[in-house]
Amino acid sequence: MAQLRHKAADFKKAGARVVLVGMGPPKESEEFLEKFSLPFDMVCDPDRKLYDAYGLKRMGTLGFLSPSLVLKSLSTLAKGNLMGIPEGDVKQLAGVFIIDMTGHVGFRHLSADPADFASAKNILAALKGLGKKSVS
Amino acid sequence: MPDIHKKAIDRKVLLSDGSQKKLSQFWEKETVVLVFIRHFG
Repeated sequence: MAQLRHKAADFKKAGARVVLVGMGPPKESEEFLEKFSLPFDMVCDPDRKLYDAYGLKRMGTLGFLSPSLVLKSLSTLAKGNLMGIPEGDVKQLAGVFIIDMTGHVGFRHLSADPADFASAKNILAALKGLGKKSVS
Repeated sequence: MPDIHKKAIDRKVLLSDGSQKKLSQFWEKETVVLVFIRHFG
């Protein structure tokens, strides 16, 4: 989330609008946006219907023991970023889609495990590659 | 699951401000980066 926040201006400059999808109800979602100062819209999907429709994966119990997750967690702590207490379905994995103005998917990344996510840098590179344009 | 170059799935969704809109309204005027997060925390 911090990456997305730090690159918010770059996304805007690239003519793209970031829309988050979370599993919390509206009140918790607003608190989440405020807590992390995220200047984005947020869709509330407490029943995970949109997660399912977009094919987001859930990890198995052993996923918490994956070496990549352990390494990522240690790296996060080493940078001084404390991890909060997760709320919601901790087995739910993340994902990113870039959807152009014709409604077509130009980029897709479905996380294979919690440590696997598309970085803001990679998303911006994908946007550049797609050559998207804003009409606003 | 929407594949690359295929139409994205459109749904009427609930937003954090309590309003509702179709997802497609987001991409009518600009490209959308739709980010599914793992959890709050």
